[in-house]
Amino acid sequence: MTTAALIATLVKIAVFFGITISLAAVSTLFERKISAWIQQRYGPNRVGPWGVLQPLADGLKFIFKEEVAPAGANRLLFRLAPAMAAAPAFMTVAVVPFTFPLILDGTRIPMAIADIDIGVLFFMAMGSLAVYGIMLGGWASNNKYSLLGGLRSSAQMISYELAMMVSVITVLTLAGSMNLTRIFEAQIPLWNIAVFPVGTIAFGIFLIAAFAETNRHPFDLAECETELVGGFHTEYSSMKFALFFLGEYSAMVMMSGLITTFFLGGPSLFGLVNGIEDPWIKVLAGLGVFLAKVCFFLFLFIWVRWTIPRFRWDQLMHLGWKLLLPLSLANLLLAGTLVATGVL
Amino acid sequence: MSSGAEGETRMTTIKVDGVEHEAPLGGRLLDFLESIGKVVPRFCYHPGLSVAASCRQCQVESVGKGPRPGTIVSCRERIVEGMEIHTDSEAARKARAGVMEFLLLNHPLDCPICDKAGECMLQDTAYGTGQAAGRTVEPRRHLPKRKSLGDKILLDNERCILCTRCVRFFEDVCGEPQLTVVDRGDRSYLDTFLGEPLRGNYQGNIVDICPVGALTLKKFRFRSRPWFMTSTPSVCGLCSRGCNITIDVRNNRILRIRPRFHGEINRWWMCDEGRLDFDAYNMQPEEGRLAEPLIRDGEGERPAELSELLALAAEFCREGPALALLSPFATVEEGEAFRDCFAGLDGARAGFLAPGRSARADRLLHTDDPCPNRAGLSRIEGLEAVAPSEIGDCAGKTVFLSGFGLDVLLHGEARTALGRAERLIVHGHRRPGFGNPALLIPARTPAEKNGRWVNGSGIEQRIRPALRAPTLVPDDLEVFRGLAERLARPQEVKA
Amino acid sequence: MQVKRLEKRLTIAERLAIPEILKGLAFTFRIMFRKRVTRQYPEERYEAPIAAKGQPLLVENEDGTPRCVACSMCEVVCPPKAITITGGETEREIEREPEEFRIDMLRCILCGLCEEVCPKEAIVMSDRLELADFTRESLVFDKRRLLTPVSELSNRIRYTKEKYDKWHSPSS
Repeated sequence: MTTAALIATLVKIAVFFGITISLAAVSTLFERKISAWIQQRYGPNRVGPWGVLQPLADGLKFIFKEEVAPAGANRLLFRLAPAMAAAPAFMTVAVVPFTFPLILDGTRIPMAIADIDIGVLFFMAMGSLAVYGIMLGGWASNNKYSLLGGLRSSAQMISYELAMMVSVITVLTLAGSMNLTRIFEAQIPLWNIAVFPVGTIAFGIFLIAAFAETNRHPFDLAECETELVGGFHTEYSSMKFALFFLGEYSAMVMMSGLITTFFLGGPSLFGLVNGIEDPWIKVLAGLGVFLAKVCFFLFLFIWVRWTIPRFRWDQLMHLGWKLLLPLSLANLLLAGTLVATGVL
Repeated sequence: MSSGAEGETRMTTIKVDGVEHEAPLGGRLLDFLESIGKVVPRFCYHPGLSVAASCRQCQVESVGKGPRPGTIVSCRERIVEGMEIHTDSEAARKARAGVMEFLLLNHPLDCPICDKAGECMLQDTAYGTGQAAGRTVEPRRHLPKRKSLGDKILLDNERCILCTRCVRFFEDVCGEPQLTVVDRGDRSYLDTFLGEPLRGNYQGNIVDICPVGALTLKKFRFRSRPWFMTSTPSVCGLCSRGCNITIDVRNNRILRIRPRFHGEINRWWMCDEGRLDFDAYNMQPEEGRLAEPLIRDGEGERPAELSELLALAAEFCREGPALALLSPFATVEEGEAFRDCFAGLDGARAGFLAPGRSARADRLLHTDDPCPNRAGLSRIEGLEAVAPSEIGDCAGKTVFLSGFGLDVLLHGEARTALGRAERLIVHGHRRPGFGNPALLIPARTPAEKNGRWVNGSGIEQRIRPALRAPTLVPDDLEVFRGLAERLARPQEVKA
Repeated sequence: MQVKRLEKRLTIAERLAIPEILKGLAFTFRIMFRKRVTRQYPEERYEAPIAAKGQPLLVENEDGTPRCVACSMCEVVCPPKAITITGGETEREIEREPEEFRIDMLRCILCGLCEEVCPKEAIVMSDRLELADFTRESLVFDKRRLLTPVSELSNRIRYTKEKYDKWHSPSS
């Protein structure tokens, strides 16, 4: 690796990771703002103008809170769990292409931190790891609510992972590559969401599964307050809780990024951005488009949370196994047939 | 009133509210009605006073033989044969309600201000009779409201309902009339003769018997509502009469002392000395009350455990010739325990202080003996009565002074003699004011302990604790028993 | 128990739930632009209605004397025993006034019984509803802090006179 490539990678890590964390922080503010608006309230408006410093205040508060570990907790796992919950979401940042590759003097610099050919596999692996943090956190707390939350969460994430991955395979079939940059580049003429019916159905399944994978409403049974106090993070306080919190919102950002990449053509916008001559402007415009799409999905996540009530546990399982999984398999079969016969 | 000293009382049958009862012939009708549980309100009638029948509140209806048909005043009426009485008939109730309305015509509506509220007979009866509002529109009569009758009593003429109980008290009980009703008809009011202040040692009783708030005690005025106080029945300790009293306490402070009926001792009365002299019982640590055991340490004193003091006291008493003097305020139980302490000790002289007679005796209640339990302590074998003159020279001796009130009864020479003691051990409720005590053991006041007192005429009575003693003040019996134990077994004390 | 079941067949669209979800999302989206109803508390104060029972206060006459005569009715009626009164004598025509009057606002439950029972209209519930403070001591109010000029409390006094019908005439 050349020095230039190293510097480029470091810069990319700094910028993309920074963007992810900032988005996660901002979305905590917007979560509260939007929930307030939907309930005809103001939301946080005391810290800074319009409450913009609220995430900062929250962070400070978390730092100064006392750390409490319940008696009988497994101390090692109890401490490890929040990190294990947050790490997969952060690591997924590595493979997401935030914008078009930068082409400088004929050198192509892909705008993902690691533009690997098995990006999709990496994402799948990280998605599967995320369940460990939650499960261990629930178990190590030595609390029945935490344990139940952890159990629910792991069952739910495994169930929906299947449908999600099958719909991703549909996308792979359409794109013919597992490199995420290639996947969005393949969509520049036509976004996958518009490839009817297979792309659209895959998008629908992926979106639903994304809600379940991030433990968001209406599938937040892992922490549903009315039944389990706080679910797997009942016993967590201070920065440990903050890590769970940050992990959840980072996962949301990442999911939004992946949906954008898989189905909405990543940074492309009906060929407009693609046609820009100046490489820097093209990269920046692409980043803007990508972030706009991500923000839309973040808004959707929040909007859905304050609209739809929580599912019942059996309904959740029913939906995952009996509906989404067969549907995604059928969709994959159809996509394969269509691609093999050359229709697509 | 025990009017029937002539052997047995003849009984007769009378009818009350339709039910036949056996009643003493010639007895007071009101007393009898009360004895069978009828509620007959009254203001002017008091069993300890002559009958005035001026308030007319005790009216009942008579329908049978006897006085005359119609409403009769039951406090004045004697029981005769063939009587038939209705206490709650229409006529009786109407008569009493009418009286009540007249009494309230000019009575000021100042129950919120009046100290009697809560134990006021007029207030209780007004509630019972139930006429909520007066019918008059005319202005009420105005009279002097705060008139001082000497240094103890305050008179409010507006509240007075002219029952003349106080007037009759001075006439019948004291035999020295001091109050009277001045003027006539609707202009009459209560006053002293020539506006002189009240004299004598029995003024407080007119406050007790006043059915309204016209006469109030200056010392108690506005200190507390009666319903906030806890009442403890006990016995007065200021002379050998042993008057029965009720001690009213709030927040662990005595606020007033009232007499309690005892037919053979004090009847309904008590003297002002016993009524008002309770400040010694209320003494707080910051006012000089001895609240913890102290040992003299060089020039100063240091607080110590009671057991340490008792061990030292036992050692002192064993070392030198000892004089142990108990206060005549001590109970019989304490006297016995005190005697047991020093019984086996060689050269020890144990006794109780027996001061000389005072000049305080009067013909009513107060005796010339300032000790409440001289009789009780005299009965105890092995406890000699020590007059102040018999104390003798105490130089080189160990002196143990024990009990509440000893310092008050010792004067002049006796104090000097005791002050010369080699070692002075004081067990008292405060510092003695003479000598330089080596040990100071806190003692309880008579208002803080249980026990028996025997009064001058040999009646044994119980005193009860009305106050909580400070936390570190042990019961006097505990002190004596602890000392007895240590005097009996010296070896263990050393270890 | 008799249960009546409503046999309502759901339509295909309802069973799919997606149109219903979209309807719901549209609804919440519209609400986001409605007027907010929250009161911005420290800036927008709450104007307590006259019936509100805030901290009990003592009425001070125009001449600066307390109206209270230390009759202890409020002390005895107070359910949590928040009131402590020490009576005292004055030289005024009304010879009795509180030497000390303490209300422990940590105990007070704002029930208003003291106001209702007071024969002199000397203690009334004010509109003071912001009763937080930093120390326990500062929440035990003494006579000096409780006495409030009658002019500030006259509305409430008039209201209670009517409400409790304190000086009703027998004819009414």
